[in-house]
Amino acid sequence: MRAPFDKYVRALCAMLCGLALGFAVTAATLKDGHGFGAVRAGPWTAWPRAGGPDIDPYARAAIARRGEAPLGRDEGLTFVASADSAGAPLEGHCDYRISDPLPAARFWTLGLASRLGAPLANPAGRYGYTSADILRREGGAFDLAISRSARPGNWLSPGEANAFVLVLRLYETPLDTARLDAARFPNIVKLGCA
Amino acid sequence: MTLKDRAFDILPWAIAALLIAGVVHIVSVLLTPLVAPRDAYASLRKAVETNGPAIAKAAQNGVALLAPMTPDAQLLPFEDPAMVEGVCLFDLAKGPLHLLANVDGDDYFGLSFHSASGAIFHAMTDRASNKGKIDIVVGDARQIEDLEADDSDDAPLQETRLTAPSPLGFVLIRALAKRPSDYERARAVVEAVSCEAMTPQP
Repeated sequence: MRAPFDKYVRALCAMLCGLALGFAVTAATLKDGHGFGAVRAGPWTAWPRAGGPDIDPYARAAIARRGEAPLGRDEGLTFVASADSAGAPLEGHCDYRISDPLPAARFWTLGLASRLGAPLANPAGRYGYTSADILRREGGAFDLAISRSARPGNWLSPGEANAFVLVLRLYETPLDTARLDAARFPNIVKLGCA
Repeated sequence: MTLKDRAFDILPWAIAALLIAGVVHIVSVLLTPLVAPRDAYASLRKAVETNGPAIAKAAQNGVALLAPMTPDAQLLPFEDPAMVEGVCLFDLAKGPLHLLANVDGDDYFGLSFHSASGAIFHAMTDRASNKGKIDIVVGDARQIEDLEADDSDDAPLQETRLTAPSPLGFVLIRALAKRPSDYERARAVVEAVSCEAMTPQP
């Protein structure tokens, strides 16, 4: 014969397990990104629905938790890359080269940020480039070097950060997010690691 | 007791735990925007009301200028360091919000209208301005209806009217400083925006 409280103990266990599991799944889904609705082009990811009234509950929760105020869809689109074009995570002690092409936009900015979205302290005091102040080669193409040591031309330093993300903001872009072509987005090529 | 019996014994409880987990997950995702202590609206409101270090210039004409982002301090994550930003908090219980801005049309100037719970209900840029002027009234459904009832038929409408989904929210004003030397000019554009509650007509 079983103990009379056996069923109650099991019910309590089931409830506690359910609670813990439910919260764990919520924490895991809100940790990175903005839930579903992500669009990807190579290493670049954006969440166009986060910028409009049709935002989904996961994106809304993720934005609220991090305290973000995303760009409206009519203002522009933010693409974040946390890996290079080969899929390896971006690391502070490595050198990278970012090169053309870029999707059409009225203005764009390209910068480095921590995984939490803060600009990175660096000796040059520069957090990013805009489409107006980046140095271009003849014909309009450009290269951007990411390295801890100074480089000629367009150069961004991740400073002492170990991991970082690249943030590409396209202001007023006619981009069709339903059909993104990775070939029209910048390549992130790892050159080597210190 | 065989292994099979044991499994059948535990199975209903495991299913119950999974069902509870599902409900807890859905409810917690839906509740997060309502209870998140540091969402964008909460941090902007706190900064504006205490006039903390994240505010470069206290609210004037309803617009508070945000301090430039630095690696150590940034009010909102993932904002663009190349933008000069201002914020205008609104509470429609005090009347509809009237936002006026003058833009030159050369450089990017964007407005995004956020409800306190995090959704953007409208966004626009200087490209949508009317001869260099942006004139927007934000109200709840009743306030907008009242305004429409007062419209005369012959005068063309000057302003854009927006219905806000919730009485509390904020407008984020962004002006691009294309080069570091453009910062002052972009700052002047943001400072010139006026954003005030409309007083009821007598």
